[in-house]
Amino acid sequence: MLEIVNYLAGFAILASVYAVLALGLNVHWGVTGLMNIGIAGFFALGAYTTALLTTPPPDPAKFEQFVFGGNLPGLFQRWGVGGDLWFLAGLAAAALVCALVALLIGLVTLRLREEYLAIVTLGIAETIRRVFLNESWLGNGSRGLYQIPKFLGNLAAPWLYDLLYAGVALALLLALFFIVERTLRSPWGRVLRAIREDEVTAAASGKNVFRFKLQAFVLGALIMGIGGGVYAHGFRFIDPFTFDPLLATFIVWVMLMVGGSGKSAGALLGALVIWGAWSGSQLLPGYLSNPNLRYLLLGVAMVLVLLLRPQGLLGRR
Amino acid sequence: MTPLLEVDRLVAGYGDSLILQGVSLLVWPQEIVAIIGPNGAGKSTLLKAVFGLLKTRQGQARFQGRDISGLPPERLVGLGMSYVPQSSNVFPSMTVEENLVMGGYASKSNPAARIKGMYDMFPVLEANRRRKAGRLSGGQRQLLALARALMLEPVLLLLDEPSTGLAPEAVSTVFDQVRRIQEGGVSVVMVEQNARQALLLAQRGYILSGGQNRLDGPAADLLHKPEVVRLYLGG
Amino acid sequence: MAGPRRSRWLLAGLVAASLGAAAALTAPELLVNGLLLGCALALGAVGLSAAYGILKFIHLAHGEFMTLGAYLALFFLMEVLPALGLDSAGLGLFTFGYALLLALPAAMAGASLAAVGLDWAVYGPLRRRSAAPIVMAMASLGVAFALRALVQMVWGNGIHQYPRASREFIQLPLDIRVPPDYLFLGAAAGIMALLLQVFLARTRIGRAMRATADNPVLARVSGINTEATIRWAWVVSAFLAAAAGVLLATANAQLRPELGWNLLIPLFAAAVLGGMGSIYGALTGALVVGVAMEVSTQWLNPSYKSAVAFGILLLCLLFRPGGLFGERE
Repeated sequence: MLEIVNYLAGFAILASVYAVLALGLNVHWGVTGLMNIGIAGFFALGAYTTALLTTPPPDPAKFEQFVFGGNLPGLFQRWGVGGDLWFLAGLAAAALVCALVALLIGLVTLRLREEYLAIVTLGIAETIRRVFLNESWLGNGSRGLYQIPKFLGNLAAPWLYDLLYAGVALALLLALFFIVERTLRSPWGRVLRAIREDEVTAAASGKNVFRFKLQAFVLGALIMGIGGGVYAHGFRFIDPFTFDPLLATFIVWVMLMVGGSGKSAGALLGALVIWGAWSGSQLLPGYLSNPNLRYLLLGVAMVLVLLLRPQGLLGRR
Repeated sequence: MTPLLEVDRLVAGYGDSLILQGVSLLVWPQEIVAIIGPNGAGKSTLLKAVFGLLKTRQGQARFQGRDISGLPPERLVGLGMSYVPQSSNVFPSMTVEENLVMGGYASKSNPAARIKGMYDMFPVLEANRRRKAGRLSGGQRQLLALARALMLEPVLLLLDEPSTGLAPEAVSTVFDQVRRIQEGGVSVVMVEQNARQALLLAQRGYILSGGQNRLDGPAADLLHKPEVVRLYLGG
Repeated sequence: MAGPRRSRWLLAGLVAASLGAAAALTAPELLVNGLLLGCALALGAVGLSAAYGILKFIHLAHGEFMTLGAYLALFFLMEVLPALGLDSAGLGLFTFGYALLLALPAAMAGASLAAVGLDWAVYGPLRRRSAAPIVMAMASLGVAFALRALVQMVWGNGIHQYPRASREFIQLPLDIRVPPDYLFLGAAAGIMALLLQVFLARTRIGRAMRATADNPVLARVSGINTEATIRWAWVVSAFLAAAAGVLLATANAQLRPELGWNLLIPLFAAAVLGGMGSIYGALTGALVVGVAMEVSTQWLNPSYKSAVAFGILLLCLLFRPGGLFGERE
């Protein structure tokens, strides 16, 4: 019974993280038409940022190679700030770092042909992964960080933590969902949609297309960074291999396209459906659970959606 | 005598907006027909629709008595029709000679003799034969565009605003060449902003406006009709 | 009129010369190896750039064509050709045998077939619906992951090797040591580049491809069948990519499913540096990127090679987004 509860809790945490990533991608692609194929980069940056800020300093006795662990929970305790508020500080830092990187990428690429953003985001994700892999002083290399603290760990027995955290992740997801929805329904969001529909007309009506795109790119990246932070404290272990292109970028794209690009609800639905299918198929017997077969089906799903139902499950033409 | 080209109440456009709303046109062998009218009248669209670059919604086009509605350009060039787009009407990174070779692409025979003929007609092209087309002057480029279109020895040439962006001397060079092309036995349908000069060159003219026929007749008559002068010839 | 053009070449020359000089002074061996690896990169980048020129979208599955080609060659080398009794290893100076000389063209043909099939099943239908270039690129990302998964399903996730005999490195002047297979790689790539040049300049299809890349509407108006030209573009692009994959798998003495995906960024760096769509630009760009990647290992962890290529890409986008030879954006 407990096993099942914990399995479901773990599923809910990951599905929420993916939903947050898909929410960010929807701001990029679904609403603004920006092709970010380096989601893994922002996901990793967010996760490593909060992990490094909150992890205890390295212990030479364990041959840990990284040099900085911010130990935010300890600091907050010393400053007399309770209620595990360090968690929000970590997430804010994750969002900030991603926003800054997105700002730099956007400044370089968003004035150019739209394909260049795709190439550059792909490159940045790969580069970030290699940096965390090779620079052991930064993130403990391939051994990864494994002492990421629990949020509200005192409130629940260790074997119930996943369930508690699933609630936290879901609450954060819903909060982000409503914030994003409100933002997209604001005049600012309407301009983004106008740009996506017809860039030339939007520019002709006096909108600074570049600036709006840049803002949207930063907003989406910031959401992805928060997704990374939520992941880090949920699983309390990250390493560079967590952020591979397939499970940290491509699957998010499939989620958004299947759910219905352009709609936040589509991002949520897609994350649930695809992550359900992905983790459910792990339980299938024999060759059906072969990971390569599942990769193949994911690629085929992407192509089929584009060919047969470009609007996804929720979208309308 | 059957008309060379017969366009009958053609309706065409982009997406939902129908730019041509039933335009008709007749072209007889070995004549120059000028099509004039204000911006947005559908002049260029008419040529594109006839040449299969746009889907036609209604109406018909017949070439030498044969229904050509819906035929793609690659079929039309084989029938003896040729088209020169308004802008980007050369292959800029290919040499002048390669541009001519591409003009003769649809024919399997060796284009050398035909290229020689083009060089005789346009000596300036021979002088620049190894030059990239993108590096020619505007007038030279327009002549190359004409030559490319003539490579398959068409009987009908569709010209979209050949004078766009050219200096006045270059315009008269190009128009002189159009007349020589006609003297060689080719009919020319020419869309022009430069209405007065076009009507001086043509035997007959059509005036389009709002995607419909307004007036047509012998070019000399149109040149002297007061309403044409006032509305379309600027004075 | 020659002004901007001359300055462009001058700039390109300066970049190449300073890179070359720095490399020659610090690491002549890495320079030579980098040039030879750049040749393989060039085959890939030329195909990528040509596909962009004609199809107008970035083909993210291009790296997988390399991978697929390399694995098809493995299939021929291990399963088909031994039956013919050909030497599989140790031809003269080289580690490989005659069999590779047959496996290479067979793999190229196989990859081309796959490319044409993909156009028929995926890209063609999207094109006829006038899908935006960026949607086509998205579809190609799906294709990339599907192709890689397929390769891994058939050949597994592990490392493979073509049959090989052990051979001494070749000693060149200046104390430069080069693996013999690298010389084969350079020569084969050079021959293919030459054949490509002849194909593009002299054949009917080659000219039609250049014309379509140059001015698609005028190409149609001239009677060129665009669909047929696009199919040929796929054939050529996959042909070259597969050759690059096979040659790299030979020269590196190993073959992994990630071969092509890991080269995607260097390929794009080369293509963007040369001006997306330009074939000769991509050739030059690839040599520059190849040398930079190799020479960087003098100071940097080799794992950063693709990051070095990415750095070049970023610099290029910052200062000359149209590429060294292309028009300004």
